[in-house]
Amino acid sequence: MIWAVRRKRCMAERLWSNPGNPPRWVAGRLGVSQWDFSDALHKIKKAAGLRGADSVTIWQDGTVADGRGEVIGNIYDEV
Amino acid sequence: MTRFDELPKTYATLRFAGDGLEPTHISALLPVAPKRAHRKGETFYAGPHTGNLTGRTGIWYFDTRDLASRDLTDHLRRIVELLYPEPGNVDRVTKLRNLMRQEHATARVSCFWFGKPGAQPPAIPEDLSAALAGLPAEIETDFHEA
Repeated sequence: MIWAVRRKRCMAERLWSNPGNPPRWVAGRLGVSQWDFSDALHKIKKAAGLRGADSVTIWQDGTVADGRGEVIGNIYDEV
Repeated sequence: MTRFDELPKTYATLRFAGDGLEPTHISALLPVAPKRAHRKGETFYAGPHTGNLTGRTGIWYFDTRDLASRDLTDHLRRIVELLYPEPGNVDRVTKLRNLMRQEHATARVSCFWFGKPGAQPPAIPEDLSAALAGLPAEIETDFHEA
């Protein structure tokens, strides 16, 4: 399962990688509302023990990775 | 999915974390099931899109997303009621504080709020922030506007 997730991420486009809150267009690219996106990202970061200001990377398949590149969740699992 | 006319969307989270945290010890003290709980290095299922993950640190996580209220105060009060089963009863908080010390864990409460354009972001009542400080739990806010 982990291998499958990694392979999928390799084929996906990296949308955004920075600390703090992503710009609004990221939600649009994922096809979800801004509020559902912000809600999902908040939940993923908190459940992983991250602060709001901590850096994450978001991929076009919804995968969210922490500052070290480790997957911590997926937006589509939370909306 | 939430519709625009259902905003503001809000909830609070309670999270204990630490490399030495044994989450079942937290569950033994609190009367709710965590939404996520794992030890450091433990593999857990995080959803159909995510698959299995390995815990970077020990986590016990709960949130109030299931509570049908648009008032952040209701969500924070739900968290505080978990810690203090009745006003003035500090037994549970004392046990949690001792456990946090033994397992080198920290507690954090986060507040999520997403409001309509021009909406006034909520304030955190002083009695609730004081109650959370008694754990102690750091409070973090994540407020947005459509």
